Amino acid sequence: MKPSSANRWRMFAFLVVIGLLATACSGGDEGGEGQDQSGGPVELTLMDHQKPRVELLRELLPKFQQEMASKGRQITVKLIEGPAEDTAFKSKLTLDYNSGNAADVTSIGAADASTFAASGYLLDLTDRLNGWADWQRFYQRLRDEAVQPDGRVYYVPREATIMQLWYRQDILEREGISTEQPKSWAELLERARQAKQAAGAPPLLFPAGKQWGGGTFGEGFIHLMLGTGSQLYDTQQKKWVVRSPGLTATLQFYEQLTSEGLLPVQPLLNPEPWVQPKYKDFPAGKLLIETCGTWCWFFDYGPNGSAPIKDITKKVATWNFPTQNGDGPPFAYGSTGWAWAVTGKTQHPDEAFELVKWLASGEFMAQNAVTIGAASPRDDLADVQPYSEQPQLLAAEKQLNGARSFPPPEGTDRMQQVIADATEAVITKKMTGEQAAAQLAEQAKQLLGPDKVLEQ
Amino acid sequence: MRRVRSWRDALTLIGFLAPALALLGVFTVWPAVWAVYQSFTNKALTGFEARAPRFVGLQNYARLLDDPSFHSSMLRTFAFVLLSALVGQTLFAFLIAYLMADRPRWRLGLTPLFAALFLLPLAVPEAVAALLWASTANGTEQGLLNRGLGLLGVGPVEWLQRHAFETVTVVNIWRGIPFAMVLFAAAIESIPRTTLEAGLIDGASPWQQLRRIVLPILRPQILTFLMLTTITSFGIFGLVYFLTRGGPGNATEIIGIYIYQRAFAFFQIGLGSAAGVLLLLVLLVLGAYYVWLMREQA
Repeated sequence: MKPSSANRWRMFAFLVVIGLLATACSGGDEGGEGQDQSGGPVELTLMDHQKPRVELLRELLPKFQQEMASKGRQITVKLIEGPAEDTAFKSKLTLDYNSGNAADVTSIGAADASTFAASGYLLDLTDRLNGWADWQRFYQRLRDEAVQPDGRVYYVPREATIMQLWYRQDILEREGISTEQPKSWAELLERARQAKQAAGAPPLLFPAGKQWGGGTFGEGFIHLMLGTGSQLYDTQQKKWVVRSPGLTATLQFYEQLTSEGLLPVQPLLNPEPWVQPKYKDFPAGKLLIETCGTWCWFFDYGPNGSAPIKDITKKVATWNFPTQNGDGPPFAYGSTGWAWAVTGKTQHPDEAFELVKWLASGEFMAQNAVTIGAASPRDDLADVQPYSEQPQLLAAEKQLNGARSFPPPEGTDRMQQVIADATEAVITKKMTGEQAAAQLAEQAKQLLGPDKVLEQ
Repeated sequence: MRRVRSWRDALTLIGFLAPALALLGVFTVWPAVWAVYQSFTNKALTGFEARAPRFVGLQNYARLLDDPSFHSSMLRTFAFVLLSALVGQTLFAFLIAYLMADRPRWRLGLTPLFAALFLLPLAVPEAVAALLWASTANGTEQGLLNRGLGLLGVGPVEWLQRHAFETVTVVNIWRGIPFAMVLFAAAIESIPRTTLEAGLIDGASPWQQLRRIVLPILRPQILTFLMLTTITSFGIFGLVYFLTRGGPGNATEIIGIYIYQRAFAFFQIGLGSAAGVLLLLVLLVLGAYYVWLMREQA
């Protein structure tokens, strides 16, 4: 007998239901790569950004896989390249973490670690690190910085960054301008005034405004703030100090730079604000003093950098940051730049930590430091090639112990936002330093919550 | 129109409508409902609020209404929509379409060539269009506009630094002209030739023809376009973001960029959602006004 049309539909529906049930039941095996418990093969994902870093990983990761294979562990690593720009990379990371799709191991800015950790995105590495002998080889101050407000550690430093004032030694000497270390803001301003006369253009760059993103805070503002003697974060009360004499003085310093035409304001308001001053004006000798980190030796001005400066070691030299009134010694800023972290939702925490250990040791770390221009965060890398052949990086590493830094507490991303707003208001002459300080306090209170801020 | 009389009719109707309704529901209505819900929370992508978002009532809305950046962003967006979409695109596109239309005693040569040229902006993806303009409006002597000015001994002008708002307005006019032109051209072509000829016989001048015959006949199409371009222009993000990222300063921070910044740069999803909901309300009001105008016309 021929089945009726209704019967055919019933049979079809029955088959669909059976199919769906079968699929649902087999779904329990998902994440089949997670056979690490039984010692089976594991595929890890690793996310990084920017071409030199990614290319280095692509070149060296097979060695990790071989090393694991020699220990009888079948671990493969899938490399994922994130957006090149730091801000876009951070956005991508945040969205990935929030949606539960982050790579097992990611490169994160150490400045974002506290925020990510407080959000519950990162795996607590404390016990694993305590059981890893190499952890003691990392500089004490970097290990201390890595400890978050909850007393736990969520990342391993990938590189140490030393930031200083970079100046065009060749041009200042040619123009008869002193290249002695300025000891106070007043001395630095005087040097900048002379440099302006020589260059005929705004000669001094402290990143400011919204377009520079987190760099306004990390590459500009904080170097001034740390020289004031005022706190930005009260570690005892665990609160942000959103109003203080030092904070106002810092914004007034920006005001003075702007009113005297010492700061190149217009480029700071453009998208990619660093391109004109750092990649064009500094190599061309129009901008004479700027804040920069060890990465500039390679990433920015090295032979393969964004804007190579020929014979850079003869043309460029560094000063430490002067303090506000010269009552303290000038200082370098030294801290962890980028770090390695494991996502809290990884299915393979042990294997991911194995990868982090490998990335934070020996050959890879030495190559990484040279590729991106960073000082070693460990004290035992000075003899490892090719790092051992880089005198600027070795010299920078020696500054690490005496450097100042600002271990970023939770809420740093929001403070970065209000400081970007405040500095932009000052450099666009919409507000005085004093007015911007008042606005900053108000905004910070709104963004962080009144219970997380205090005024001095 | 046939009425639905039986279950079979109803099932057929549902069967045909279901795919479209499902897509609309999943990709348009549900995200909008979700955004409204989020706007009443302090949901963030980072910090404590990421782990435990809570209901904050109208706090996000109060913050927005108290935020000068939000006010200026909204005002800027109104100006941007008015100048680039309502005036620029409509006026230029209508003019081009009218000039290219085949009318009694008027025929422009090489119309297909002009049409192809004017349609080019529509064929270019948004990111490519932004790159193209970034190069054209480059503030150095190498920029295309500045090369032109250089021939006259003027410039260079930093278009995207000193005249950013004006530049992105022009870019949006350029970008929107093709669609409007196609719509207006089709509408003009649909005007009965005899109507225009009657006008001519009665001695109507070209200006009178346009004002007394063409524009009144095309009013519904013009209103439809104005509604569409208002809605799409309020939602513009990529074109401006790729060119200026809302800068310099806040000069081009239109509402789309404001919302993006709050939600995905500062990770305040609740606040960004509230701004999105306010934008939705503004668009609903404007949309309702256009619909009312069209009904008046009918």
